[in-house]
Amino acid sequence: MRAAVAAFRMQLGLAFRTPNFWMAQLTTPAQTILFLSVVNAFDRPDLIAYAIIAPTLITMWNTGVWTGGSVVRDDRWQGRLELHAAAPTSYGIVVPARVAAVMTLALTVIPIALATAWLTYGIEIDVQHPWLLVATMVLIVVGTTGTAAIITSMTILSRAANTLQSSASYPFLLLGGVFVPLALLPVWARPLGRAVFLSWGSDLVRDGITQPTVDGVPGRLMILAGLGLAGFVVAHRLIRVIMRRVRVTGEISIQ
Amino acid sequence: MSAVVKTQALRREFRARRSKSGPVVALDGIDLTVEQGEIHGLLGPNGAGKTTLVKILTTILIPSDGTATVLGFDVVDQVEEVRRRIGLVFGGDRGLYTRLTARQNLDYWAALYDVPAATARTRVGSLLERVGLAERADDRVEEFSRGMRQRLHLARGLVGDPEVLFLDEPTVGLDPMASLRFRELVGEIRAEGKTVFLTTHDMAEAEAVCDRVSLIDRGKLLTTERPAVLGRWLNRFEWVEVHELPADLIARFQSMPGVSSVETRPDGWTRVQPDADGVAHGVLEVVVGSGITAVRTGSPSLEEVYLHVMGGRGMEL
Repeated sequence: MRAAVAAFRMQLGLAFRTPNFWMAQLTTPAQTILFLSVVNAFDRPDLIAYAIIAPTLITMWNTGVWTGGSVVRDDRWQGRLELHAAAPTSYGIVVPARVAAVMTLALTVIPIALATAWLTYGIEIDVQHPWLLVATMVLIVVGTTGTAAIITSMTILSRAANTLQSSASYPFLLLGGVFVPLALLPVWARPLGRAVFLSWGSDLVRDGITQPTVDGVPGRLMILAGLGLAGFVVAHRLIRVIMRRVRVTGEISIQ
Repeated sequence: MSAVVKTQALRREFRARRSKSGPVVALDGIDLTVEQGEIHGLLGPNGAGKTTLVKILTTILIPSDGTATVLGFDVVDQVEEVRRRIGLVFGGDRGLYTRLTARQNLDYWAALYDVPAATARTRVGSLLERVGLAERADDRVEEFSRGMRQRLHLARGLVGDPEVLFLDEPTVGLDPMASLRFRELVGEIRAEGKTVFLTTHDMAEAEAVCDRVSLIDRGKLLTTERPAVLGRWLNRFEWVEVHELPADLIARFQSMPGVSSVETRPDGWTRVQPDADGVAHGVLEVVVGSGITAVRTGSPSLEEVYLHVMGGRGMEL
């Protein structure tokens, strides 16, 4: 546990000193303006919450996958991956903890998106269920961390994992109901989307902001938590397996 | 003394992806014993297999064949036990979080080595003091010189209070003063009773700090000796080359006691190869005394030394 906390704190320290991390956050205002412009053009005030949630979740996801992904990539290029491999603490603990730190900082996109809406269109969001929103966002951070850690672990095996990071993002965001609710996707895509934690998260966020009453909150939160934690477990196990494999193949030393 | 590191018939092959050629043999049947409390050097040229051996002993790589134990624990089957008892330091600039401070780097690695927080606070402070970085403890590593970074690397390797410390080419790229300071620190570590396994391609470094040195080349362990013996071997087989050496001097050297061969190449250079102590000096005196200035000397490769010694008169010196 101490190692995980130390890894979390260390990554926070690194993020504050790394301009690249904050560059990702800077895309949020532009995306927020884009979505709000569309909503405004078609005079659909009922979709304003959607227009703010989408860029928020997109940035959080991108931060997890790209900035989180750099954890392993930078360790490899800086000769630290081998030092981690020789340390008593499993890299399978270190990586999720460090990605979690990145994701926690990524929550800053929420005030950025809200501020953008207020400054550009004078929009103020009235959140119907603040605690549901907070709980859901926390669980989205957990889920994104686990899923991003799974994708990140692939970079141990291959330097070409950037392709995976790129190609996985768009379908994941689509099935996660980030752009539009899952209910609006083709029927055949909905069961797939239900396996993605983000679809439960984005629905809960939208409902928490816009709906006077939200049905089935405990069950939906539990499913979101379960899928998110499953990502953590899979990431941890996967990293252990991959680290064992690269010890055999010698790929851990590839520069 | 007991064996801290022991390898038997250790072999490691690498197979390149998509390569039609066969596997590359990095280590070929290594039998090695490192005793408790010694500084054991592994000396060999680049590509000899030194780093591969260190990576196997530190559990980063798994051997293709053979066995290796550290403090009695198998490096394949008892990985956790090995990792808790060792420290690892690579040479060069890489391996640190340069945007963090020296203290933050050590704090992080202390946690990864399961050092309790209170102990870590004390130990990190004392290690920074010891490696001469206490006053720069809260400066970012990116502001450090190469020598300072390498001393921080050493502190990082010691933060888990290891029983065995592996140093892989720790002074590569350092200036002479920084290298000297680093070697002094290694000597201090040995004085605490820790075992140090150090790889280097520098005979002078091996002589300066090691109790015993193993020669490795092309994945094979050639021999293990005290550094003084290896140094004598290198001096003994130091060669002299002369450009356009006159025939009378060639004949003189051919009959000189302690000269094993005199060979002239098509480019006009003649190599005089001694095989006894002090003979190279005598050859040089004759050459310079005859007014020749196109002369150069050189040390034999480790393999040449080994072949001279083993192929000629065995190990007695």
